[in-house]
Amino acid sequence: MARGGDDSALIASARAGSDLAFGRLVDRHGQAARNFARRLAANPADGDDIAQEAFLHAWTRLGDLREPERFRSWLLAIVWRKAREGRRAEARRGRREEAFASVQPCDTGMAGEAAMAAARALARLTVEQRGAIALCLAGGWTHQEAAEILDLPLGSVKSHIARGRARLSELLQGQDR
Amino acid sequence: MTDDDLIHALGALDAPAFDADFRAGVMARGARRRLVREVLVGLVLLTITVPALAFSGPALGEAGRVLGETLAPVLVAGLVVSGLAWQAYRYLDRGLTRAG
Repeated sequence: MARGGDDSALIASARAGSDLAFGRLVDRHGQAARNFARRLAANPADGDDIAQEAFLHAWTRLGDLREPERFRSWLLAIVWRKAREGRRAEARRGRREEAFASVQPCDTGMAGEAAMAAARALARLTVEQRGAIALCLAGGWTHQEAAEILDLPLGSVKSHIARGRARLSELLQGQDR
Repeated sequence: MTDDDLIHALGALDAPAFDADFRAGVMARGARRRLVREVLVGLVLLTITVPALAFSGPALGEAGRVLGETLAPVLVAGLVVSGLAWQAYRYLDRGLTRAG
């Protein structure tokens, strides 16, 4: 399914070397990539960094994209891999999972407290649950699309969503009290 | 909590619909990375070319031999340094972007 409109012309121009065309792709898909990355990462700043890395990777690999109309799902799959690579690197550096919960709001205009509460709750989910919840619940992707982006079996995605939703609900209600 | 409540809570992490700084960050990082990559490729090519000149010195004359013998060790070291520099660059690039 195409998301964000038809990108074929922009992708063709970007492949031909147009920076302007790639910039337009960043404009079109930047929010989706950042939203997904922010829900996967330790904090919004790390999420934005992952999203930028994903765009840079996509820029150099545009030639590998076989279905230009699926640019967004291809990009989100890159975000997912970058987020997981980042987490593995953090693990190698010996950071503890608890550090994930030390969230600091960074963007002006963001409701800092609400963002911290959401990020803290997400931090308590597994990364697969976060990915599935971010795509299907917050991003409006179907389970099948999420399974392709996350490279997981459909049944696993459904299970991650069900468990993640229940856990997230519990955690957010706990924070309200 | 309903799905709408959860979506509302997760919405607190949303990025703005359009952010010129984010786009500028991607483009700047892309341009820097491309420049560094081109410099490194140039260094690698020199590292291959100059020792080749040294070996073919007799055919190219004394100047070719001297040039090759003088520069080859430096450029071989350059290849190693290039690899390290690339890793350092990627690390610093993230910091620069955030600082910006």
